[in-house]
Amino acid sequence: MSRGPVEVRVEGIRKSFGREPALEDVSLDFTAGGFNTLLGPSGCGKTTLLRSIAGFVTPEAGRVFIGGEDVTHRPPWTRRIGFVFQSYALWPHMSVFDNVAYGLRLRRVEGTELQRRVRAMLETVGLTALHERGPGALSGGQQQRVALARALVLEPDVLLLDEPLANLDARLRVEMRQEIRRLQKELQITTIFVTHDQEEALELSDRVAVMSRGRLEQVGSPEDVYARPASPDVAALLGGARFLEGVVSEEGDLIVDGARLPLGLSRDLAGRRVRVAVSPRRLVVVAD
Amino acid sequence: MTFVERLRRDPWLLVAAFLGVALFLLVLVPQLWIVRSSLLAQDGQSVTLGNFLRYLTAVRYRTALLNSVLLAVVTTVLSMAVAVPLAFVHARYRLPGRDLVLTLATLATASPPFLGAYAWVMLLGFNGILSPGLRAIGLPWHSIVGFHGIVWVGVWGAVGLVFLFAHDAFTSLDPDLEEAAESAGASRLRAHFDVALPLATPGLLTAAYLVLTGVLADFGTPRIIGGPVSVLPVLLYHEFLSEGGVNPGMASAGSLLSIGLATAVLLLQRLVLAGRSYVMSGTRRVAPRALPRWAVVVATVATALFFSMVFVPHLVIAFSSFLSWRADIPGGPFTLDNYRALALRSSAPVLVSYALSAISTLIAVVVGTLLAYVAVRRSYRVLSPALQALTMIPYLIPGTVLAIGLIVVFNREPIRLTGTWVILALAYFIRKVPYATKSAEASLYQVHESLEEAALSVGATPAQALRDVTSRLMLPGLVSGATLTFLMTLTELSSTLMLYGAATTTMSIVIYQAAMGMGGQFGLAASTAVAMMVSVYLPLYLVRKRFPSVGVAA
Repeated sequence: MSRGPVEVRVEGIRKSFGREPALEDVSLDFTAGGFNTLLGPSGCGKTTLLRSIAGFVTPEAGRVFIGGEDVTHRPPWTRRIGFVFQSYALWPHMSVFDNVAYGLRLRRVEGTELQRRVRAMLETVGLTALHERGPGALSGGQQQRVALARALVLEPDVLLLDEPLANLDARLRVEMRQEIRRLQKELQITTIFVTHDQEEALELSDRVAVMSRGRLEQVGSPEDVYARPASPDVAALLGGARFLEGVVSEEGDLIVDGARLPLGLSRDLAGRRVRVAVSPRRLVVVAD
Repeated sequence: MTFVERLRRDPWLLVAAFLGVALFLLVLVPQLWIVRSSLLAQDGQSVTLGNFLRYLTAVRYRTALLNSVLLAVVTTVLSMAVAVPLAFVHARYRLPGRDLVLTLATLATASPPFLGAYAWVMLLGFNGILSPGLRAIGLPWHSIVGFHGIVWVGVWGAVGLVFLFAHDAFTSLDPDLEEAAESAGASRLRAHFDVALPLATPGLLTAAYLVLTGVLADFGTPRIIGGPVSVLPVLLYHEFLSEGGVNPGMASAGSLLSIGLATAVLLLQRLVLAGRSYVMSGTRRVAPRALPRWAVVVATVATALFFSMVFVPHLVIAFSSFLSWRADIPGGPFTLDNYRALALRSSAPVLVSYALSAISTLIAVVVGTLLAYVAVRRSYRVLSPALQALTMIPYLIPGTVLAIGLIVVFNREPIRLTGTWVILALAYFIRKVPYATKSAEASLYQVHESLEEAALSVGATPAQALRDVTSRLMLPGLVSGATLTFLMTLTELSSTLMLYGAATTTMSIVIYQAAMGMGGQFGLAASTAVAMMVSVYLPLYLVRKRFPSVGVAA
């Protein structure tokens, strides 16, 4: 089934809800087999972008490509995607086994082959003993694993995760974070992960795309976006930065209200008025 | 994106369009024919407003119109006056038998009005069982037949519904609000009047609205117990069907007037409610307080009286079904002959009723579910509001008027349906599709959309997602909605009477004919009525046990 890691690309996506623009001309490549994160505050359009890739949302303009194929006008059920919802969306009237098996059954996989694949997937996510249970009897973390298994058992081209950790408590969140990363590495599946949590984004991702107000602000490796935020919005999002505004001296110090801060800034900036983002871990010049 | 692509992505568009066309043909087209016919003069050619004007000028028509309005107002006021205080006491104070009281009230809402009329005539008509006794003790009792009789039956038919709505309105008040009033120095009675009553108004108004429109549209009660008193639905029936002097123009004008009345009442209710929807901040529900012993006794006696009046007709009919009848005179001894006759010779009406109700309920639930889906999960610019309007129009059409419309449209080639079971099933379906849709909407709101998207994401088509996920999760709501729809169609009289044929005689027709003194099958009518009561109350009781929130009509 699986045809190896697949690239996902969106081009010039626009979408509005009523008069509110949700996405304004967003173009982005997601690396094949990579862990791509869409990071941004709530309402920035990241979930809408993810749902456009899944096909739940039809963009007003722009194209969506999965594996080089234009799927813009293809309905979700033909797109070979796996989607994990924030609320998990496990079907309460089916057992764990049936939740995972449903997509295979739609594809006429039956009998021992069905048993084998579902059990193998449940084992992969660490849920062998629970397949008879209903989703209601599971903990949040276990439900999350079932949702992952349900999406992954079909060996989709791309795994789409919509804030999958938001409903978990802090300890489980860290545990599941590592679990998701492990699965992704193991299966080498192109993954797009939506979150508003910068820590998650920085820890998990191969690439981070930071979004704000319906626009793409910056794309890069976690180190890149953290070390060199392209805009105040990005800086504010990464690490709850505070800003100092001042003028750069000849020596590379920052003069704020007459106080001299020896920050060792680039001398090229001398004499210019800059804003400096101060994050818990480091200082970064973000704009002038 | 081309239209075909749009359809492929969203097949629901096709469903919505199909439903729109179907409802337009079945609901709106008949009404448009009525409009046309109402504007035609007697000669069938010239256009006139004369038919409407005659409702104001000619005594016969004006009387019927005024009677209808007066009857609706009086019945509503009286049923509120009886049921609201009792509901308040039950909502706020600890009284014995709370579950029983609510169950009885729920059962009362399903009682077909004509059954009550029939039974009260049997009891207190000129030749009624109790009438000679009343005269013997010196009361100047004549008969229950007349305006007072329609009111009497109407009130006891409506109190169950008012009780449930009022009870719900009073229990869902945040108790803090009244306690706040008391702490501000109001006496408890004062707090009731100043705080509890105004805050419960939306619920009470809804109940009043339902009673008012119910009485306006009711055909069975005034026909059976009204005697010479003419009301709009009965007048329409005569204008349209009576052997001599059929007058379709006047029937049509009257039909539009009754739809107009129903619409006016609906708008009035919306208008009054608009400024009064309060958002309750607390989640606390009222904890019932204790009452002094004497008050408990008084309240319990009042409750017992209340429900015995509600259920007297049922007891009378059940009793009379064990008597042997000669013409319309009941006599001893106790016998099972009526049931034997029902089972051996005359079970056809029971079967016809069941078959018609089952078919129309099935269609109403399927169509209602699809309509609910489009209403809740899609917003099409044109189709959505159009469908919503088409779904709700049947609310406003009295059964008599609906039947007239169907006869006008389907009594000509190429589609001649009159006299067949199809036209009855169609009428039942149209009448109940608003209820089925509302109840499906309520259960669909309980199913999160992502559950369905999850199915799409693993490769299910929208049809498969509906079949395997959404409809499964809606099932409890659909079952209870279907049960209520089934019960309502089982007791349908007004449109049935205009549309039935010899082969499609239903239970309600058999009972109606006996009540009208026609056919002389009184014993059989009584046992048929018992069969109807069992068919209605047993499923309702079972559904209510399973889903306690069910019962308040739509």
